[in-house]
Amino acid sequence: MSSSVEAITVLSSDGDEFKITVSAAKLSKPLNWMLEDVCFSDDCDEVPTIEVNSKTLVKVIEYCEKHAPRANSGASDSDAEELKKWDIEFMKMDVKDILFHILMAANYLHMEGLYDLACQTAADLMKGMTVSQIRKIFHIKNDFSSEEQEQLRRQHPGCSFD
Amino acid sequence: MVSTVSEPNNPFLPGDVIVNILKRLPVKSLMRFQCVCKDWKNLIKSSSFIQDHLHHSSHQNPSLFLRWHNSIRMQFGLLDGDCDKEVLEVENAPLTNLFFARIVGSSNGLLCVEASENDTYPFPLLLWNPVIREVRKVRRRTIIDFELDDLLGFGFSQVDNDYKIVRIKVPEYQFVANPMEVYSLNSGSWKVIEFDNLEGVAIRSHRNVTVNGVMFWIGGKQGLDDDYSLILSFDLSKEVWTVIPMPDLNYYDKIRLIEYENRLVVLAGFFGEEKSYLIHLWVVEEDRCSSGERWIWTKIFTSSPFPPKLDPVTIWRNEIVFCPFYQSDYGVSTPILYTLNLITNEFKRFPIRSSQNDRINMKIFSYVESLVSFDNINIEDVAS
Repeated sequence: MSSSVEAITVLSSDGDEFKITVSAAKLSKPLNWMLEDVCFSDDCDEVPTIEVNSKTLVKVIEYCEKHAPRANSGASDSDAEELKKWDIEFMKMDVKDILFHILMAANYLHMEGLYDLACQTAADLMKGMTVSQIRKIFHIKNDFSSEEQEQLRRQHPGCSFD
Repeated sequence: MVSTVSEPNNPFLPGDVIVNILKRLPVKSLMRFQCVCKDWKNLIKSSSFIQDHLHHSSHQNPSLFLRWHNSIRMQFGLLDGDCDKEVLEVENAPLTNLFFARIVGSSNGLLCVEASENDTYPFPLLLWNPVIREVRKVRRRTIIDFELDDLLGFGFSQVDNDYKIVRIKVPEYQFVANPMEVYSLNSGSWKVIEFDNLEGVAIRSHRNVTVNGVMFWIGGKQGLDDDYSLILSFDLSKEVWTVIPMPDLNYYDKIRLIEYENRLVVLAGFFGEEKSYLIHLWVVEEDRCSSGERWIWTKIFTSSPFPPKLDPVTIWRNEIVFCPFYQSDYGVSTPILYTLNLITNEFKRFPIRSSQNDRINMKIFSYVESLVSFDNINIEDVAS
């Protein structure tokens, strides 16, 4: 890999161009493969497409750039603490409305840290939700017959289908 | 909060992503979410998900379970790391208003409890999962008669994927009566087990701990009342005893056998200078190859000195937990839980708040919330 390459350009699924630094791209195996393809290819004009929409990709790249220095060099405990705080803020302030997209992207890009973080954020959000709120965000239909609901209510007094 | 996850644009999540989210939820939420749809209900009840969830919560969210009684009734509480260090009383516990309750052991979210509403002996032996509110009675029809001073232990064997209750007779803590009995949840019955390698040794305390399917008891040489130089280990799968020498401890005050990071540790308390107290932790490794010592002990921790009135009971997230005791704060007597961090050697102090104030005889157990249920286990319903 040529050391002169510091950043590569990728396309989102909406066709927007994004720059990602080489060290940040290393957080994701698929991104890393793309990067090697681009750097070793004679024809460097081809811009790889990542099947993630622009709004989500911005956040994924932001996460990668923030985590890259630690992932590549290893860091002190105080850095780890700081990064943990940053993660919490990152999830709190910015990504709630695209949380499920982030989940899908982290899964698709094999980014373990972001995937775990997003799963935990989703779980924390779900803790206090009602059953019907859960159905709404996961696009699930209530498929229990009224007899089955009655039976479940008997087994678990106080359980609610709403 | 809720509306911030915008609904119409949410993508459909694949099954493995949903599992990864759900395994992070508390049992209470999962019990509610069984009503979402049939797929979720079947998932939450499946044994693979129950294992996933248990694995995650054992690593991420170990808790403490407390039992105490006041003048009227038994109470049970949970201390969860996420909470503001407050003991939450177990909601709608089916085991209250009891005449007697003793927790035999705690494993994978199940508690084995000897409990009764009256003074008729033998007290029923119960298995209880407090968060899913299931209670079952263990058959007490046994070959050897039950006695009040029987030693009981409860643990899980990964090899057999089975929970077992061990019952040993140790008259006056002087010798281990042969045979003993072991109850298997999978078979739903007691089995008599004979052994021949415990001659001349005795179990010295009812306290025991199970680590990786092996139950450990503090032992000593028969006839020497204050000898605590041995550990008796019982493999729950092979159902055989092994005698292990204690590490070389001089002038200790108390010893405890505790599980820490999936290993057995010996916790020894010593009096230090100026009425202070110190704790040492030891781990053992078995050397099967060399011709020298078979059991090699290593000291892994020495605490800084602290007041001797603290009684260590367990280890919870790198913290030694001490038995709570009452302290007067501005004239109000509050039970305080102290912990000592194994990495930083720092003390933390947690007041325990709950509805009842006249608590006595608090006991603490390591605990992990789980969905482990008795659905497929062959035991009697508590109503029978």
